[in-house]
Amino acid sequence: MSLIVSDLWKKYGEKTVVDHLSFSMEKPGVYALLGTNGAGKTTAIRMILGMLAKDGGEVLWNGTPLHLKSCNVGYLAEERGLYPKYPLMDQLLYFASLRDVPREQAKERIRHWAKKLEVEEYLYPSSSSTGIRGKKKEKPKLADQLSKGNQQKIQFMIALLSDPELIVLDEPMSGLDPVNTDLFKKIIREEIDRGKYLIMSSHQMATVEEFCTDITILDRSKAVLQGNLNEIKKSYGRVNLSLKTETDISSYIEQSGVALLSEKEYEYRLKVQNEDQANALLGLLIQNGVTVITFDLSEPSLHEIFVEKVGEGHEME
Amino acid sequence: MSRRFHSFFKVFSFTFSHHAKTKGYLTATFVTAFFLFLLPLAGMLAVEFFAGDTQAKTSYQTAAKTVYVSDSVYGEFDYSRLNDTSFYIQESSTVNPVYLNFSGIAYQPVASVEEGLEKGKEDPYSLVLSVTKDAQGVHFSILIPESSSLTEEDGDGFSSYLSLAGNAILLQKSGIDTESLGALSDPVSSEILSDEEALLETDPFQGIRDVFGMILPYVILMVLYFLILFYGQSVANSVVSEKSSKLMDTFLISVQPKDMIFGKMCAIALSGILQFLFWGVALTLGFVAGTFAVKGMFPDTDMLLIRFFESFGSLSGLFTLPSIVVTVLMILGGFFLYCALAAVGGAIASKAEDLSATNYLFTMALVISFLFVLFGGGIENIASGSPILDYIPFTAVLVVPSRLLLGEISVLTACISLAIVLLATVLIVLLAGKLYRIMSFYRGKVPSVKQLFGMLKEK
Repeated sequence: MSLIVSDLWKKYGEKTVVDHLSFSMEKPGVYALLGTNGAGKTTAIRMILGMLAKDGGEVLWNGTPLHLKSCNVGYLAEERGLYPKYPLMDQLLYFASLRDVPREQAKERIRHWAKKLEVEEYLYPSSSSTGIRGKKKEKPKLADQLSKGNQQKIQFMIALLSDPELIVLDEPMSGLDPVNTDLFKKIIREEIDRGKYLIMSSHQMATVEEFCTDITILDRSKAVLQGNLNEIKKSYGRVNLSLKTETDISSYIEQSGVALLSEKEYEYRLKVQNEDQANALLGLLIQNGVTVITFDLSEPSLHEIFVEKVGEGHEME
Repeated sequence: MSRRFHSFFKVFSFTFSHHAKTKGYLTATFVTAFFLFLLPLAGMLAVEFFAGDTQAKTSYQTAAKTVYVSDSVYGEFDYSRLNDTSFYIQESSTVNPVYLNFSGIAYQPVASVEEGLEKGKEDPYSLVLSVTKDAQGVHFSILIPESSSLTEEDGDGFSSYLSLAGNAILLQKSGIDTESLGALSDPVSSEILSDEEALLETDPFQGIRDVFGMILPYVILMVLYFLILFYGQSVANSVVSEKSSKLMDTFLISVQPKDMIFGKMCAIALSGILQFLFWGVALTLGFVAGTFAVKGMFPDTDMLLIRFFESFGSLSGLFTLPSIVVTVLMILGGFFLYCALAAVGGAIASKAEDLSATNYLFTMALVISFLFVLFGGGIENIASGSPILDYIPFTAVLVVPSRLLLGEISVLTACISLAIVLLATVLIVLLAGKLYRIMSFYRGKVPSVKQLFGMLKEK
């Protein structure tokens, strides 16, 4: 299976909102679409999924134009919601039926995902004691009785109910607490292991780095950086140096010409031009008898690459 | 096609089951039905109880069982014929009804008034009738014998009856036979008729048609108006609900907007039709129960409404089955057409609050169509109204049902109108689907009509 997006573009009036975007996924994994607010990520996703008419370009799934008939898609949209006054189980069964999942199979899948996402108590009301009248079954929960995080879990379930081949997650972890973020990450990892194709749009760079093999960074509708994440990082070289010592080494840093980014209790974040410059600083410290506790030379983070590419002037979401 | 139908059916069944299960719908259905049942039942009983005696005042009756007749005026008359009241009062007017109760009275001739009065002393339920003639004319005098059990009212009742039957008595005394008397009693009128009108004169239902011609257009308009007003808003609300609930992206990945809109529209319309039918049945049952209750409690009732209901039996043959079927389909088609317009309003709105600005689409269309129909002669003069109104979908649904039922247009013409209405409905739903897709990602104020056309031109 493969997903090929080529030369996708769209204009609203005179304004180009997606400018000739191309990328491909030849094997299962996670592809990241990154960009500032209004860069065109969600519009691109909507065009890829056929929800929005494209002005040009094509989206191929296994060599044929991507269509809901030919590709089983699961989509967790950035703008999320549920019917506030309908029982949750009814909504899940409804969306499953719209994706042609037989009712019994849908019920099995709902139970499976409810257990995984720890929302069983909201979907399967238990009997509770009500005094002399004995036990009374609780009413099914409505969406507006759930916290935002739990609603997000139900929406994630809707996206996964059809057991999709292609999963598109637009800001999947936004608004989740750390415990639930880990729960989502675990499920995403399992889906990757099951050979699924994932497209993820996120502003949480650490999360993207954790999962994604390939990325596209969009800036003002244009792709400004594309490719394999590891190769992109390699191309920048190892220029981030983290140093921890027992004494103040500011003078040595200044002497070696290394740029100081931050310092806190003898923990330094430095930017070097190359590995030789870092090694020269290490030699200088050893020569002068400074005890070095940590010396970590690494490639730039995705966050740094993103900021460098789209400019610090942009407001992050 | 099958997937499309599948999507439509899923949306339809989900929307219908949840809409029809809401507390608001169930409460409105049953509470209104209860009152619609109770109102005619209680109203008919109240009318009969409080206003029933006003009818008694206009009735003529007597408790007399024997009448001694002293008749010295020319000619013979068999007074026992007065027991057949229908002979004298051919048809009771519905405006001023006459109620006669003079059967079973024994008429005995006597030589003089005195003889009659003497005989009457032995019979407490007898009257004496004296027929005399002078220069002013013939006089019918009623005398109540001494120690009679009868009251003056019994005398008045009989006297009033004689006033009605007096001329017929005199005509028979003159020697005219019964058949000739009937011919003389026939009403006479004269008028100028065209060929076409002369043909219509042969229609036994023409009078009823004229009445229906005045009532039907308004009744059908009212039914459609309330259906559209009650449920058009619900259709728009349902269409916009995914936008309000931020479910639109999730929804659009599974269903085509036009399938969704069509499913929702049909679900809300069906729930509306069922609710209306339920109310109609409750109202009918209310009238039926009212009729039985009034007849049970007041066996002598002659309530106009009950007589009106009873006259329905004589209407068989007034409307043909095909015309009734096509009329019902046309009303339903009209309801769906305006619901589709309401769906366009829902498709344009980006949130529920915008509906107040977009619902003008179906309300304005209804008002403008009504004005067209009114000034095009579709209401006041159903027969001579402009025929083009039958082929404009928005006006056709207002005029064709009445015109078809009244026989002003053929079933074929009505079927053509119905086809146009259904086609227009489908086209409007497709337009609503396209607008929904365009507007689903639109943010800002509700666009103007010009802006909407501009958007439709774009991809």
